[in-house]
Amino acid sequence: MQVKLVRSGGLAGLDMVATVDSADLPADQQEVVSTLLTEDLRGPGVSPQGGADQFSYQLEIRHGDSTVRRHWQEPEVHEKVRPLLAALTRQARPAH
Amino acid sequence: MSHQPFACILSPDLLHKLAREATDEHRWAMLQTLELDQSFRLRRAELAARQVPRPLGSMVVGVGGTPNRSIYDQAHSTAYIPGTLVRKEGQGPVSDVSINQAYDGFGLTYKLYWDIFHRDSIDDQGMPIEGLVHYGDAYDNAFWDGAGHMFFGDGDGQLLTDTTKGLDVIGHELTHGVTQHEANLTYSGQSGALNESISDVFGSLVKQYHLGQTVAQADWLIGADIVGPELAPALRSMKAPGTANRHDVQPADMDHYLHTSTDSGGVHTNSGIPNHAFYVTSTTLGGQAWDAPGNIWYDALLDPKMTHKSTFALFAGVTLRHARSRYGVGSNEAQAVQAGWEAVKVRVR
Repeated sequence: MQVKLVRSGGLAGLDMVATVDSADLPADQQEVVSTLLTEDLRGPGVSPQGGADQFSYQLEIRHGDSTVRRHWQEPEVHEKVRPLLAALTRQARPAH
Repeated sequence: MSHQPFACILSPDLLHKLAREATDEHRWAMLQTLELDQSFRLRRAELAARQVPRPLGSMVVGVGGTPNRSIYDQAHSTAYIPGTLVRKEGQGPVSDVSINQAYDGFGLTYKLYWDIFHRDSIDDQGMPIEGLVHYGDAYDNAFWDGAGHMFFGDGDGQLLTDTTKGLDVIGHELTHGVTQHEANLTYSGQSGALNESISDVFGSLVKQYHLGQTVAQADWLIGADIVGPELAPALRSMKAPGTANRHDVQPADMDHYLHTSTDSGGVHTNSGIPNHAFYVTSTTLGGQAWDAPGNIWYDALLDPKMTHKSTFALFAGVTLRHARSRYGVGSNEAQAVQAGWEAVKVRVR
């Protein structure tokens, strides 16, 4: 499966993009990707009103002919998803 | 010395009566007083109507003029609750440089708001200022959480370095709190870009005031002290939007407003437009930017006409009205504000 991350926002306001093949991810992160196909993993946190400069994450998973999209503001990220997002962010490059 | 009755505490009705019978010179002064008085009454009513969550354990400091700072060490956790309290108000420096830099930056931000705008902390009621340092692992960001806390990352070394080093960045984040308690601009689209710009403006003023810089001496850069090689020399430029680093795509006028779905509608991109308006206003006037331009922008932020949906054009109109009210209709200050918005092609409403 093709996995694409766009991280935007933050103090710098810089869009960072990473595109990987899920087969190149560690086994536990591949499992998270599979789970996200059917389940919107979301943590208990809620972005409080008035917050600013936090990151937002858009994850796109292409599986065959279908595409699943997930979106989180930073406080909403589930703990199981954090390592995946961190790994993808390390590979991300500025969009512009 | 002649008696100046309009300088006493007089009711609006009496001022109106006196103004009708006064000489031209005294009538102008009385009408200015009435307009200012009305703005204060509206402001008090607006303040009473606004309700914003305050941090648990917050308390009103007895006397304004002194910050109430607490700096916590998050020890690389991504938890949203404060970790270990390392330095509180009045305590001397500790061994952790980041803790000390956050503490000092909070104090200097408080100082600008108190010295120049007579504002007692973020909510103008002595709200405690809480910083959470060493958030996350090589976290390349700093942010305001909307619940009374500024979070600081240590940086990844490529995009950003230790974010506690940036005095303008600290002023930027705490100003998000000020905006939250005032116009409460929605953080998306044009109102969000205005929210971001106001934070850049006052963040820059914190740094300029601390360094005692004139408008000519200021570099008008945001984040120059915290960027890594990928974003050098700075995050943004108020003087020349779009030139701060090789990834900078900020527009400098409304003809180039960016419509995008990322970054909440490009709030960090389109902020370049009102940023540049403030730069042009300030450099047109000369002197120190926290003086007339800073006061005009601050008055505008507090104006009850500002709502959570305010656009650049509405804000521009409010700044011009305050410039005229404070300094005179044909004043250099009013003309400089007009020049600022014309330079970025924002139609003043």
